[in-house]
Amino acid sequence: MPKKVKIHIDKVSKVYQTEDGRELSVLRELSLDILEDEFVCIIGPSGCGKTTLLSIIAGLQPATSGRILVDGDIVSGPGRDRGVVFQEDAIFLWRKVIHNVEYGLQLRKVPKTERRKIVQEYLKLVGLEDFANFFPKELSGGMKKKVALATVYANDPTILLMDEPFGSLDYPTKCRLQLELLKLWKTKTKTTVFITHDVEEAIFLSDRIVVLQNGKVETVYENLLPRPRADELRVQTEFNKIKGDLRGYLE
Amino acid sequence: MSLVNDTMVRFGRKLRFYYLTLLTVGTILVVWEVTAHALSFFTPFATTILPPLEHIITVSLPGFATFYGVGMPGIYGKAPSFSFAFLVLGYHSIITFFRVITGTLLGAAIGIGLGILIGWSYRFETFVGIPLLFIRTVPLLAMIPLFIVWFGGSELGVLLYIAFGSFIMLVINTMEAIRNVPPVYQKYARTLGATRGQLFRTVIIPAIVPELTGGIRVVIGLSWAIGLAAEYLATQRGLGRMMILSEQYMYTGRMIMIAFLYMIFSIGLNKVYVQGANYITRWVPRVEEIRERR
Repeated sequence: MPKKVKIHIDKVSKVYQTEDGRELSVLRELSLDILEDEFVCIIGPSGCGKTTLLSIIAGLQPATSGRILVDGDIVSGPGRDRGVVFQEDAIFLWRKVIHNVEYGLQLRKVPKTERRKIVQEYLKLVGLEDFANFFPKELSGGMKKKVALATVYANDPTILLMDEPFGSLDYPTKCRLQLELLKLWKTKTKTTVFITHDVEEAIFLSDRIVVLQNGKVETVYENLLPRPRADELRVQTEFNKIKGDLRGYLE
Repeated sequence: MSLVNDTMVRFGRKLRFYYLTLLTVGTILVVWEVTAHALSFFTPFATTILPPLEHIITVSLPGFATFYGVGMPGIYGKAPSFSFAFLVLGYHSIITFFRVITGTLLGAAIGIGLGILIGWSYRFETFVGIPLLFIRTVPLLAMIPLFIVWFGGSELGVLLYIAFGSFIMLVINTMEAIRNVPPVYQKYARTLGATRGQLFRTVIIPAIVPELTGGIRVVIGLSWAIGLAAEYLATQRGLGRMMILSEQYMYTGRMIMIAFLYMIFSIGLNKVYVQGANYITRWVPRVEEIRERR
């Protein structure tokens, strides 16, 4: 049974005005369909427009032309149906971990007892239940990412948008968080758009890999590696074969 | 064993630090004392130019009793005595303290409130921006005569003057702090479903607190200074008034005594404030120690 289209990106262009008055085309009539519950990774060299595309889907900036439909509705601004994990640490430094995770629920005025139950559940899922009363400054970089992930998940969006979330982390932490993310995604499946410049990360996580180049879709690669995926996968032949194939597009 | 050792090492460091501090303070006092006594060989006005320390404590301090009744209830003038001197100094200290604290609080409340309103609405900024720019460029001390004209030497005048100074500094400080909130916080809150009101309440306001606590600290220091200036010129009460009175009679020792009191009060208030501010901003990541270890 073919899956339903969750995000329909329809000829989206984005043109920025530079300081000296020139026009810079970041996205050029880009079209792409992302299916429900699919894990899509978008890769491409820096400056290819991947972060811009994500922020347009999130509704944080408008497209110059074209439109994006989510469940058939035009995106006109940010909404809690589309949770975003940013590249920078965006979690609130003045809130303890537990209060960070409940932030979205608090905005919606979910009653306290229910809120605490949901927060506990997600803290447990990311393995931070012992750090509930810590301030972010007391956490490592990887733990901060987990707090952001738990916060976005606890807010229960239908779409998860991730903008190079693990880009700043060291290799082992990155690998561990990728596994955690897949675990979360398996228990609470959401349509996920994950931006990265790391080919290996894209292969490890995704169902499909979209390669962007100069603001356009260069190619879409069906990643048929079996799930669940474990660390051993990273050194297997098929894995490296895909890596080789994708490298060609990125040169 | 190592714990004991550690404690001893730390205690030793501390002792060395205090030792050095004592050494500097001691040197200053000795130089003062020697200069003051040396002066008396050259001029009969030595105690007026630089009174020796024992003179300040045994003559100048009890001398404040002669100001008894100035700007305070009671019959004017008492013979020098410590008890009446403390009464005089205590009374005027409380007056000054009250002015500085309420003035600063009032100015801070209005300044921060206005700063937040300006951050909230662009239209509001166009509305008050230009008048604010005008007020900001007027030198603060030049406003004293204006306040005297408006309020006479009244309590309200000094209080409003201190409030005015605090207000000007903090409204700018708040606007700047709001501009410095990292955009990623706002993006994050909006994608989690925050409305504009919620964004302000839950992100902007908590995020500006550390910058504001620094600003308020500076403002408290400034309030002591401008409060003193206002008291010089306009009032019958307060430590500033005591200072001017001492100056009129050429009581240099008493002037030094008041300067010393100001020092104690402003250091004390600063210390209390910093304790509170550090607790409120305990979530701010800080570098533990940038300076070299002692």
